Amino acid sequence: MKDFEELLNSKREETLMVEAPEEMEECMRSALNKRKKHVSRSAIAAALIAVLLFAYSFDGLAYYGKKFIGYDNVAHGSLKNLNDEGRGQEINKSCSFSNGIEVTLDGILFDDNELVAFYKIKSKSEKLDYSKHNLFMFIDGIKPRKYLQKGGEGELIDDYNGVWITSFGAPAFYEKWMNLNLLLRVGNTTEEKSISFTLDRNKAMKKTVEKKLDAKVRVGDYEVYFDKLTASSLSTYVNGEMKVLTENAKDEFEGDIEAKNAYQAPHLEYDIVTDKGETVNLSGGNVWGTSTGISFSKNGDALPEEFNSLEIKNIRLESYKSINKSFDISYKTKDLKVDDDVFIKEIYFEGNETCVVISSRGVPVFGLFSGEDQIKILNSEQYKNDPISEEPVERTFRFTGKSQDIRFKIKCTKNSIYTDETISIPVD
Amino acid sequence: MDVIDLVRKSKKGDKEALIQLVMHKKQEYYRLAYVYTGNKEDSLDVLQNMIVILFDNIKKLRDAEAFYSWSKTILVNECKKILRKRKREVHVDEKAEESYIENYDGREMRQDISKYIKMLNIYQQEAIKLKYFLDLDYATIAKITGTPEGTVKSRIFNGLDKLKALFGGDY
Repeated sequence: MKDFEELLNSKREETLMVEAPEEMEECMRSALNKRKKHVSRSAIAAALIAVLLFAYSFDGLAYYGKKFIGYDNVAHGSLKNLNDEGRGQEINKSCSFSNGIEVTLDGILFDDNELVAFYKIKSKSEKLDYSKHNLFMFIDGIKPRKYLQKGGEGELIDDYNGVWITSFGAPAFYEKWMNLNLLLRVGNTTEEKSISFTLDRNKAMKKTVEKKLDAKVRVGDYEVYFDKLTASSLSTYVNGEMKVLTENAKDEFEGDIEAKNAYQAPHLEYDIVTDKGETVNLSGGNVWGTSTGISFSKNGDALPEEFNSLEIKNIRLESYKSINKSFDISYKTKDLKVDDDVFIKEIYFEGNETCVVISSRGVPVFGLFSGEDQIKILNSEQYKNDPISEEPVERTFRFTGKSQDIRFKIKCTKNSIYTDETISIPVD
Repeated sequence: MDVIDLVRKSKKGDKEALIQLVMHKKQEYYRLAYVYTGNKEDSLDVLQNMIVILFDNIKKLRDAEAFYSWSKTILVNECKKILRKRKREVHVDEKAEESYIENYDGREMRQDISKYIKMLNIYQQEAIKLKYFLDLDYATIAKITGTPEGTVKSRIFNGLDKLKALFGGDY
């Protein structure tokens, strides 16, 4: 029984890995500030139905939108195209904090997958400093669970002005009146403001493709199940699940996925290609644990306008194999074994450059040092040169100068396991 | 930190004082919520529900020193509410996330532990998770679950006994 209790005690260490998130305090403060007096549920339901019936009949009067100005450097791909076409819903409402920071919500773009907010931040007194002015945002509506931030990109225009786009979870079908809640934390004080807006469903990006995929492929020690593809003119989302098939692979996912360093865990990559040869840019994604394995969601730009069918190909699992070794090398070094999968074939000088030829299975992640100083690499694109092959590949890395004594420090190799299987998606 | 003073301020409607009380033991609150709900979003949801209930009811708290066990009892009740709701939703959405403990997909032995814990009744599961995963003593478990200490002990004892049997007597 003692051993058995020790086994249970070992679970405590896992629980200790769970850390309270930074937004916990802001969430509680926000809940307290929004605290409402109790009203009976039936009264709320009756009022809600009446209001919704009335409100939804007015969507037909929606106005045409216009381009949100100033976002050219932060909106890319489909988002940029849609904004250029003026497809977003204009909001143009602001709120001001006591320290002189003003946030203006210019507009939104949304579909069944996400809602993207376009907003500007202006400081009327001190210079904007994102490390000091910590802005946390979420959207709420009828749904009890808030729509949290998923990602975003921003740019400082000058010391006092910035533009941002941030994506949130997609509003549920029944949402109409929503609030963008902004919590600005400076030092130990937090101030909360809110910008209300009304969703105009006529402005929502309509689905262009919704396909049940229901396809399984095996990649290395994993079974990957592609469940569904949903696309609009704003975004493309593919959802599915991964199952671990072998005991060795289970060790890689040991423990709580969220608490584990994502750097260690293999992650799924694949390309979506049209029959015209265009590849869809997939830039975002998420994984989370479920009762049956690991769920994944990968998202990116809208599908191209013209195609007859889609194919999911180059399905691969990428992982990092830790090496963490260092060697003293020189231009005389030849065929140095760094690791079972990594060899320094040769080092030579060319002009005023040092060339290091490495043969490796996976892409080596390394640096060259002269004393304490790291030597600048000239062709860093070699790190992205990830062939569709598991065989060793020779790459030549070029560095500035001709140092006689060099320290070679390698951290890891990035390895990709591919499957030849592809998934065809005919589109009606 | 003066708990009694902060409770006094909270009773007078000072929201920041109440937040300060909770944030002082934020890891304990969050981990307690996480052990029940198993994910960040639900954990934050129940903590928000908890803080509102605390604010509305703190005037009823007679013993300021009992703030932490009282508030954690409320948190546990909120966790149970969300779990009951989730249980109803699982039939609709088979992909509903399982709890943190149930997510665990580690070595065979540890995986077995999680698998077998799920086979205990909910009271035994709760008592064993609180004792072993959060290292709470019997008296604290009794307070926050609103159960007599003797009952907590017997739930843990019987739960361990059942686990031992499920493991085939290897332990």
